[in-house]
Amino acid sequence: MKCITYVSKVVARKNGAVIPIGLSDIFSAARKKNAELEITGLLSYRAGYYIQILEGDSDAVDQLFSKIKSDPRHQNISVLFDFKITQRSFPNWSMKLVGSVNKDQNFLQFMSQSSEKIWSLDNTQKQLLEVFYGLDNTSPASIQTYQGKHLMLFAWPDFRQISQSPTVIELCAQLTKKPYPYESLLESRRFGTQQQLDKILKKFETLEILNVMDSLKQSPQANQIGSSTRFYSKMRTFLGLR
Amino acid sequence: MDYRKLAIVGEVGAGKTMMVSTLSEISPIKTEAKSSIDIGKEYTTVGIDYGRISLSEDTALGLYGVPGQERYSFLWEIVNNNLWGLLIMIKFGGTPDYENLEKLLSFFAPKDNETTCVIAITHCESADEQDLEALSLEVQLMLQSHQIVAPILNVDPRDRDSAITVLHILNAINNQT
Ligand SMILES: Nc1nc2c(ncn2[C@@H]2O[C@H](COP(=O)(O)OP(=O)(O)OP(=O)(O)O)[C@@H](O)[C@H]2O)c(=O)[nH]1
Ligand SMILES: Cc1cc2nc3c(=O)[nH]c(=O)nc-3n(C[C@H](O)[C@H](O)[C@H](O)COP(=O)(O)O)c2cc1C
Ligand SMILES: [Mg+2]
Repeated sequence: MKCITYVSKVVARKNGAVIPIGLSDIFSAARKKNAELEITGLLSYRAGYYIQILEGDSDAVDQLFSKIKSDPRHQNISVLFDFKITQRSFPNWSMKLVGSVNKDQNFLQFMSQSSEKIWSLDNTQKQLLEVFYGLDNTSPASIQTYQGKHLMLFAWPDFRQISQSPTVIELCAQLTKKPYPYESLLESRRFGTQQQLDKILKKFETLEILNVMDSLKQSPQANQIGSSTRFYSKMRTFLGLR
Repeated sequence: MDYRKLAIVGEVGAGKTMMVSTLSEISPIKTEAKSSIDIGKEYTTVGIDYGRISLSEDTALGLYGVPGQERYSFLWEIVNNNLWGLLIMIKFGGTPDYENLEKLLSFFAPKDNETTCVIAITHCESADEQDLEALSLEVQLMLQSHQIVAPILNVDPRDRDSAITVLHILNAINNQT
């Protein structure tokens, strides 16, 4: 068996935006096809790049990889690792799609087993790998507190990864449009105790959807009370929420 | 009269007409016509689906289902003011038409206009969970590239509870200014 790991670039769109168009198609095709070929591995996207790990029978992996290389949905394919293996790192996944590889246990284990190979990568390869995975472990484990910070979401969570509870929805709603001071979240008591609130916020951080900002140049405007609030409470009544 | 609008846009067959009829208290003014070309179903909307929810004597939410294709952008113009929310419906199965979605987003510009935006993925009740997750991720990354912060929900427009959840979330976001 062998294992190939590569990084590739997603083609930018006419308007300059880079989005992994076709990711869901690629993923669903890959799972079917790889199951037939007994190929396993991982696929992830970040900041304009794909990373993929393919493992399985050497010929099967080589054949699939040469097909993937000519896929127009990505370009600049750069192989990081290509080596023989006796054991799979993703045995249960015909293709594992992960949002952020540096939070994925299988990937972290794969990397720690490859530490020697990482050092023999050239600088370009290292830079590509660093899009996904921090190579310097110098940054201290952050025991972060949110005290004095402003919070906002980069994105809403996928409700398969966190429960779609009223509290989570309210909190997401609060952090959707403007940065909001942590202290105000706490004081409002709408999100439980500090411990409960912190737990949800930490979860948002693991999902990489929470923007924690130091300070704001302008303080957020106070709630405009008026027609919006009236509409809001009438809508709540309609929705049967008291 | 406090009157707001919810614009419901999306591709052919995404469930806009169904969404409006499920939520509306009046029987919606439908403009369905037999499709002259094969789009995989018999009827398609050739105008706006209009519905309405009265919240009190002088407060109401208007529901406007409008086609998502750019050639109907004259209909987008009609609904694009005093928006309470923008609901973008995407049908599960196959890669969405991002070119068109981006045109929609640049027209409605939910970020610049601070319009509350929700994405509904429909036709997903029997979809494979992992495929659905992959589609949500792909759509999420598209939103992020436009700096739009919006929930992506699985919605069945035929189901009242499911449709109501969308209103609930739009309302929750709107209350935070
Ligand atoms: N199974 C399933 N059927 C759905 C769902 N949403 C809508 N439908 C059905 O799909 C068909 C198309 O829905 P419409 O509401 O007509 O779609 P539309 O967006 O108005 O389509 P156009 O007017 O052609 O643009 C209808 O028969 C709906 O009942 C869903 O989530 N699951
Ligand atoms: C980043 C990326 C990763 C891919 N990974 C796989 C994969 O693991 N398995 C697979 O069968 N196809 C994968 N593909 C898709 C293949 O390039 C090809 O489209 C697919 O195998 C279907 O080929 P076919 O139409 O000749 O059967 C990937 C494509 C891209 C862009
Ligand atoms: Mg319709």
